[in-house]
Amino acid sequence: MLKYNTRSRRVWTTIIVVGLAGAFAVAGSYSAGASPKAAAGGTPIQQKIAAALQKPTKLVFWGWAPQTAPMVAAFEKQYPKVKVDYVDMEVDSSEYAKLDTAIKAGSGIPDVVQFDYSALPQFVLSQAVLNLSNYGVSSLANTYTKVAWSQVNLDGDIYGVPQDSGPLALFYNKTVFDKYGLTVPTTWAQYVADAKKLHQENSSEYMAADSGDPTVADSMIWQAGGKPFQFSGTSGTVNLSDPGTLKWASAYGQLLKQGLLYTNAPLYTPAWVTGIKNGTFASWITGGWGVGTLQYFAPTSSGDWRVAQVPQYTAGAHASAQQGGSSTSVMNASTNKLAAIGFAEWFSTNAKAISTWQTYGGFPSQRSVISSSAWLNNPLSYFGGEKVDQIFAASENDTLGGWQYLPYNVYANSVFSDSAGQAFEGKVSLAAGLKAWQKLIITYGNLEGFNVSS
Amino acid sequence: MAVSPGLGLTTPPHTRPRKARRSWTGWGFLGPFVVIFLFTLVAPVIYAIYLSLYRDKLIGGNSFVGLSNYITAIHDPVFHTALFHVLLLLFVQVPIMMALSTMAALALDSSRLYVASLFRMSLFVPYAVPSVVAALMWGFMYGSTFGLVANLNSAIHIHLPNPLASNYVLAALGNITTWEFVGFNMIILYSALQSVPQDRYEAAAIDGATKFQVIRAIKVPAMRRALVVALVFALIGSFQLFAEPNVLKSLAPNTIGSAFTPNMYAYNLSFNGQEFNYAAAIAIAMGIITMVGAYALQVGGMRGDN
Repeated sequence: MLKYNTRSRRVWTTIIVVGLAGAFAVAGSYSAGASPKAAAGGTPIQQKIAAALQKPTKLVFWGWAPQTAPMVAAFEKQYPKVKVDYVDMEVDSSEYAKLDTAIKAGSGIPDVVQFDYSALPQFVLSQAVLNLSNYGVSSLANTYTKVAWSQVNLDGDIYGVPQDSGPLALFYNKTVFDKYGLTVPTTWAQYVADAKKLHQENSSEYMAADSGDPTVADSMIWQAGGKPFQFSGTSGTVNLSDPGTLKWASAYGQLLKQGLLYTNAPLYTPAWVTGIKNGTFASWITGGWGVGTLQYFAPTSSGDWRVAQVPQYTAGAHASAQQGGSSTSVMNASTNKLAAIGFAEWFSTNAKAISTWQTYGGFPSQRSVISSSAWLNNPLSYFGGEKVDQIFAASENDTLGGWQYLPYNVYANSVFSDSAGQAFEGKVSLAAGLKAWQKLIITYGNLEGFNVSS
Repeated sequence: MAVSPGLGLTTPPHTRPRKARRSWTGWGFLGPFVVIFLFTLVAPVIYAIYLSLYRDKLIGGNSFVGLSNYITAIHDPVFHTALFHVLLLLFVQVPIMMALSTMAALALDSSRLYVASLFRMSLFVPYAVPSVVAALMWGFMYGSTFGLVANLNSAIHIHLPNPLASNYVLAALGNITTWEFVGFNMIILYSALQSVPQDRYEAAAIDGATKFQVIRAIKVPAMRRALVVALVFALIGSFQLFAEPNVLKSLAPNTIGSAFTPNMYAYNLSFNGQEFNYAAAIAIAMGIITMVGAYALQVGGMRGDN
């Protein structure tokens, strides 16, 4: 509970406040909002949403997950009058560039969008995303893990239905570890020591590949207890040399300085896939969705990989964080808001949707799934029969509270390579690189009318 | 050459035209062009200029700022670096490419090549490859953990430097653009050579000129105008460089970065930073720089012609 303090308190008070506010806001038309879990037919707003799904409607949905298409098909089967036009945006930042352009143009804006949690605040701030607090969505709070719910809760309002979660874990190649006699690291000090030993034994082996990825940096800083981005509305601070960030910069900086990480293989490029397949990269610290990603990119490595808790800064601790994860959100410009909300809710509450999401390696965000013994005790043959989900469930619960993404995260990520990325080229220390990133982030924020200081 | 429309010309000069009937025939011919020209060229430029005079903040809305965006650009070190990169390419890569194209055109024209048409085709084909595809293809070859460089390294046990490392990345890019455009420039130069009248060669032969004298005294001067045109294209191409570095960026994010060329900078500003106004200012500034450069090149290149 302690780990959660600020955030969870905010979440829970928020839910109560929002629930009440929602009730009062629409009190003119109905009064059941305060008890959203009303039986038989649900609250008036839920009934309206259900009714909207029975009318001929066309929804445009922008997403990227490979399992989306079959899920959309299942939805259309259940609600034959609603036609969902799914546009596959794939995994790159161009989705947000395209969305920005559509918003700027005021036309071509989809009804429903799958957002990375990290990108959501930016679009909420530009008032492009519908506030779902008044639509009864708050009643879903207990459906999702605290972490997942906290990521769609921005300054007290709900801006999406959580889709997946990305609890951090250490994926390691056991075959490589055994070959070079490495112990599975439980602390960052051990991780660095393992990396050194591995590279000494075989100079073409690396502990991991990282070519300077802002999403990795964010989650590692988060796991080290850093809270570099603190915003309330339009003012805030950016401090990429707070104690947590510096802890990571010091551990990771050693790896970079000694050339123990492979820095010429950005995620998903052929170089990265090759290295993962042939065991050049012995480990990968990433979100729970890595389970699906590894099987997708390296099917031939079945049996090589295992999962463990993320290395800790204090021996015996259990600090974790998130990488990635996404929500399904409704856009303000939608002319079919109710049906869009119905779709977004269905997308991660319907049993069939949930199971399809997992079949394709997607990581769940629903409490009912994460606490179910069937899920927890499912041995994965790709991971040598290890019950990896137990590690992710623990990581989900151990995720440190208080993390915030920037309200202009997309831009910040786009200039990571210009600043902090230089540390991955060996040109500056990681701490100095992060400081340079901070400067770019602050300058941009103030230029755009935010009130940002260090 | 101005053609005055209407019947004014046929009216007897001593009588004042009562009322010149306006004929729209001229406009009818000109119309389609004017419409397309206005919509696709003039309107976007005017809109970009309009955008560049404002600043639309994420917080605080839109306001008129005059030339402030341009003043920012003049002092912006990121813009300077981007400009420096394309200038470096212009002054190093373009001369190399032009020398290669000239040699290829001369070789084609020498009629000593066996399968000249095959030679011409194979040099020209890269120009037909979309630049994104070309960059991807070269990107794979440059890969030092996979691809050609990796294969060479492991096959003959050498350690080639990574072409995408920061010291070599400009050369790696220059290599791609050279590969893409040598054939195109060769065709331009070759067609200039084709228009040399045969009697000049005959005269040269009668005077006993050697092959190299013919090249120096007849062929190179004949190519000069075409060379200037090709250089103008190359200058524009260098200043507009975008697709190739943007594709390679996904393979080498830290060496290329978000603002490697002015166009990449403008792209990142507008689509990741929502700074459409400043991006428009950068684009207009680059347009002006390109125009000045192209004009200077043309004036300089054509000097001596009458």
